[in-house]
Amino acid sequence: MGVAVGQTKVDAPRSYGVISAGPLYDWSRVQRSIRVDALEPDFVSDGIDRGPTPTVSLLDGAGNVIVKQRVYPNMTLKSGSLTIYPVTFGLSTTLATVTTAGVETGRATLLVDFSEEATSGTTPVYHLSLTDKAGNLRYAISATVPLDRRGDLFVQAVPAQPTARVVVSSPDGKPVLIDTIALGEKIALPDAGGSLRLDGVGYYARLQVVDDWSIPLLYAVLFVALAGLTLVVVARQQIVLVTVVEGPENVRLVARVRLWRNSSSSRSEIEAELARALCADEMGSTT
Amino acid sequence: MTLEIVLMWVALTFYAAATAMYGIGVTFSKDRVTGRALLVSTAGLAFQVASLGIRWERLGHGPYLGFYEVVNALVLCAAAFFIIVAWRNPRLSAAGIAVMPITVLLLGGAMLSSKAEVEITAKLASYWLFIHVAFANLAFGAFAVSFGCAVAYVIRHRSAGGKWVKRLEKLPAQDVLENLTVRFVLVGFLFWAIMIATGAIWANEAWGSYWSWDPIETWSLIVWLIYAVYLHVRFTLKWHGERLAWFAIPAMALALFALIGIPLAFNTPHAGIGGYGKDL
Repeated sequence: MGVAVGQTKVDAPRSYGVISAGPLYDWSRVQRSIRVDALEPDFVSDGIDRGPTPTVSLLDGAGNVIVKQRVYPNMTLKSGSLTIYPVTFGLSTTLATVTTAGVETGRATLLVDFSEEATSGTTPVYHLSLTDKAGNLRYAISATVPLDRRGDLFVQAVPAQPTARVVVSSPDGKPVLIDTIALGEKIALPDAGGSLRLDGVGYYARLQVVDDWSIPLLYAVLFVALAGLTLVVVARQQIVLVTVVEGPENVRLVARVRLWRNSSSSRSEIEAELARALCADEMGSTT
Repeated sequence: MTLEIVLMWVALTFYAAATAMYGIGVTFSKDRVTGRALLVSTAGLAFQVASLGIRWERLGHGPYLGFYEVVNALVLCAAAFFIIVAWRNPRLSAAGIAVMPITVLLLGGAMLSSKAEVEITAKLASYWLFIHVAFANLAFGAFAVSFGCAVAYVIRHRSAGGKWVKRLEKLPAQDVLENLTVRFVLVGFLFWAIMIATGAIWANEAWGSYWSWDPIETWSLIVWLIYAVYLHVRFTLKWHGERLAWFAIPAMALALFALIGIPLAFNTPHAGIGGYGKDL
């Protein structure tokens, strides 16, 4: 799930790029949303750079915050059966469609991934579809953010002077307009009578959301398995049954040894002990 | 050269001397030399502990990061396990002829490698690091002693009536050696299982998934399964004697390969922990 800073997405299939849900998973019972409140590209805690760190809020169906925290490796957000892990981060561009009269008619956030191979350092995650009133596709709009450079490498952060390179394509995929605009600037859409305005460039966090009630159960099973394995290693079960059988001519000592681990040294130890006991008995000891 | 490195060279020298003394003591049936070798090994362990202690104090983290530290910790556990066993049962001291050369080779390799100080990164900053690595080291220590006992068993078994029978006559009986091999495999198997389990839990916290089929994960599982087969053939199929001992020998080599060979051979997220210059 890619969530731009300030954006809230419902925990529903449509919010996810990659989804893997079991056949019994009931989405209709999920009533929560996920919001990214902030993203610090270089968050330092306890003297350790935690990397790009989003602050994530989990909201219930009524929009109340259930839990809010910074999320970074080894500090995942956990709430009940839910775990949120930060996978990566990128940039986001907020574009608004504006009529010739200057009235804003729509607004959308496009996500942009960092890429060392791309000429500007970023690639679009997806396209925005612009439709007419009848619902017919008019344009596909994508955006990238040209990054600042440090030496040969791109600086993976919001540029000092943020701009967006907007590509407007016709329904058949041919680019009809390519332009780079700065914050607040507009580009006129061909034959549409309106324009696109760049309203913001920020960060987005790609989150891995796992809802698995079986994790505590699996941990419990794991614990029992390890405890069982420990018992097997530590315990040394030995059963020794010794019976004195008195016959008409002599007295016999019958020993039955059961070694759970069938350890040869245990056997020899027990045989030695029995021999010692018999020897002591012969010598008149009461031991 | 810092005190820390000097102490480690001294430790290596003692381990090498102990190896030579075990060789001389066993080959020429010099029991006193074999006995002294245990003292020398213990002195080497003391110097190694001191050196690692200084490094731990200086860097603020234990010997978990980088080839030098990882191998050092493995050697420390193998030597410590063997020395404790040998002090408790002096007759087992001669098994040092198999265990101590491993410590010398590994520690020598570590001393010749980079001693770069690897920083704790965000993905490593977890208490699971200590638990996971500690059980890996303990498991290796147990496997190393099982290896030593198995080698001693095989040598004596294969020279039935030969010179080595007399040279190794001070060792415990063959059945006791075999039982010790099995017991240390059991202990190592348990520790290895805990190492894998804690590693999976930690991986979920640090990488976002319990199991990624990373080469070290895969090979750790292979080693665990091999030792599971060892225990199976011992307890279920009642294997005994030389073939069981032979099983324990390559198994330990495989465990060693999984711990320090894989990060050298493969590009793995674990490589950062091994400190081979790759980031996590």
